[in-house]
Amino acid sequence: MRSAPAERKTRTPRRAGGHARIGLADIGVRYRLLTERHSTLKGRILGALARVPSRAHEFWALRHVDLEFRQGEVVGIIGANGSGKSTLLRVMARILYPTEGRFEWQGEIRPLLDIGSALNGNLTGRQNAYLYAALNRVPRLEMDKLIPKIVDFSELDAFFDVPVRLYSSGMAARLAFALATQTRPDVLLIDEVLSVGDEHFQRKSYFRMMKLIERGSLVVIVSHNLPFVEQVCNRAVWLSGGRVMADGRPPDVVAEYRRQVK
Amino acid sequence: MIERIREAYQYRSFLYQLVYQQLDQRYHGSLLGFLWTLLMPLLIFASFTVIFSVLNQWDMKDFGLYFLSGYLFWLLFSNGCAMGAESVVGNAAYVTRLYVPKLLLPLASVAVGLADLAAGFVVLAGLMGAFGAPFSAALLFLPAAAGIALVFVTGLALLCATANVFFRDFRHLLNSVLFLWFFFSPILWKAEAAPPKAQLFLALNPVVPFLSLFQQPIWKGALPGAETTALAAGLAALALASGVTAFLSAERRFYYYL
Repeated sequence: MRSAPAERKTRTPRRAGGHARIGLADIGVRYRLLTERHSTLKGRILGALARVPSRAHEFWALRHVDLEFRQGEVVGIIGANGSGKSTLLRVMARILYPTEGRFEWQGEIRPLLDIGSALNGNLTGRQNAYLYAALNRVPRLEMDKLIPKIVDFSELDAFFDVPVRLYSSGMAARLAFALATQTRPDVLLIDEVLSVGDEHFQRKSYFRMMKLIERGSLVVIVSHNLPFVEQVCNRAVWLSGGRVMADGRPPDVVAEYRRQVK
Repeated sequence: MIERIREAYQYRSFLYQLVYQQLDQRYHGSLLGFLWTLLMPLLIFASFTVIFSVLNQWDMKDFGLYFLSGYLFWLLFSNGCAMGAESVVGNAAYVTRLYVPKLLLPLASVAVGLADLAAGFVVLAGLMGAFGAPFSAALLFLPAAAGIALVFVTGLALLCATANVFFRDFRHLLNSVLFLWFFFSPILWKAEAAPPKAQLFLALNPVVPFLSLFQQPIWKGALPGAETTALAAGLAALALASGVTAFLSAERRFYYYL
């Protein structure tokens, strides 16, 4: 039953544009809830000596997920807490290697999972920009050119040279979003980050996302904000218990989800 | 596997950032910060030199040079293992929050150890000058010795990093083992001085040939034997191959254990 997990990347030249694609084939992610006994050498040895069966509690956060996303799609992923939305996003961000199934992708993937993931609080906005460049294979010289755009988009002005830990949550979100979207992503993965910003910033980031889509990017957003998914996305996926319950036009999927929840 | 090593190379600027950050943290805001990291090895060196040269009835200058030559390798080795073990668990944020080739985390620890070795060579040069020890041509072998030692330590750092992800108490065990290993290795005493019965243990101690790579040129002013050099190079290649294999085959499961 269990297929060997494999991961394949089709090579594309950088900034070719219009090659964004994500393929998930029969993806399953199994978590083991580890106890102290399983995570130390001492525990393992004592457990083996005392013949304590070392059965960790297991559960599947995702199972049999088959999805394919292509360029030009803005996919909204909806579902209750614990339905596997964030796990799915982590698989697509290549943070989490699936227990089974095959994950394929094309293009540069930029996750925007939580604000902290992109930023180091002790570094200034500018230093963070260069760290971000190093973490995402953006050449330093290219980042030099992108800095004015990032400052402009994030509206940080003088705060750009202040440590990020002194930022408000809105400022940090603006910087994180600016970094992810100005570095020419092919695939943008967003986990509820936009909800932090004010209306002005939400509008701005919406237009920025649309511009990326026109250029041939693919955007996947996890959101609990159903009206937002209906307005912004052109495809919606509803997850429940780690499985895909519905996949299609946002109004249909959202309606089905609402019916089920009630 | 080749593909993943190539990818790690593409992320090399992240490696530079990591090394820079770790070095920067040490002397953050103060010149003294850098001295603090040197202070402990220097104090150990000074006090052990005084104590053991008296105990061994060995000329202090000669003993000091012998001890320092082995101690330089020992610091690279033990810090490489200890910092390597911490490298993945301590940088869990880079594993659980975004994607970077994880191979770079232990490599950064080893690079920091290499910077420490460079500082150690400066101390060595100063000491040799102060003792009036001759600067022989054999010292030119030291970069090669450092290179072979670095390959060995890199392999072990990868193994320790992998082990510590799955067994969190590994580093406590490691520290105890390293503490004992130091005294059972010919750093404070000469291999030839060991009783015949102990020679078998010396032959089984993998750090002995590496110590010799440093002790021979620095202390004796002679090149290490070809056999010793070949043995060290072989052990280094073995350590690196098993370290890279173990790390790469386990790294996909790291997320689940962090």
